[in-house]
Amino acid sequence: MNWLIDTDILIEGERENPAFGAWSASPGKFATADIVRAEFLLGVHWVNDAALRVRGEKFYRDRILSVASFANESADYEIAARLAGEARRSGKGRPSLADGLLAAIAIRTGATVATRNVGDFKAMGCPCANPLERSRK
Amino acid sequence: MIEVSVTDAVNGFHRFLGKVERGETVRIRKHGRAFARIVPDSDFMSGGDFSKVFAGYKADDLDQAAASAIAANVKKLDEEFEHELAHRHGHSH
Repeated sequence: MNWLIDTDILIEGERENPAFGAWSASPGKFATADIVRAEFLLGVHWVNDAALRVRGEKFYRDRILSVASFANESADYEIAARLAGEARRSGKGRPSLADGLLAAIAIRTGATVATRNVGDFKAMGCPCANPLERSRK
Repeated sequence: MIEVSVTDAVNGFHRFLGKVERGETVRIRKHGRAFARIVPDSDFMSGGDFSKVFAGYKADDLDQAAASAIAANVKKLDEEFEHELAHRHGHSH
């Protein structure tokens, strides 16, 4: 399985969640997306405490930047808007535009989004799973 | 970003591909107008390479706190996006 990793899963990596460690050693292929990197980094720059901000930046530089990452293509934006808009219209979920952009890459590359927010990705018809729940079973 | 004419791009194609492979973007101009780019692409990494990225990482209390602060900010970002949408368009539209 090809995993496309969402921001909330990378944060579990920073926490050193044991389920993240078990999953990262599992068979499969892994990548994230530039939009996910940006979301993580926005969260870092928003942190008021300078010491915590430095730790977040270090994790980003030392770990996240070493994970393969997909950029969005022009066509992804239209797909993201449709997926997120239709999910909202149907009342099935409330995915953000960033979720839609990640879903567009997953669909284009045949990947499964690794996320804790499976509800919003399912609402977009995007293959997804919470790998940290899976590895506990 | 590197900018080249079509002629230079064709003549130096392999050299420019090498630059793209190292992370640079090559913008191609025709009659002075940019019309194409050669950009780095990505692919999935193996499980072995992925687990190596996190090998040896130990999160202390500061890392745990940083992760929680970042998670809270990302959640706040989503909530603000929701609030903004609701404010602009109304929940029922």
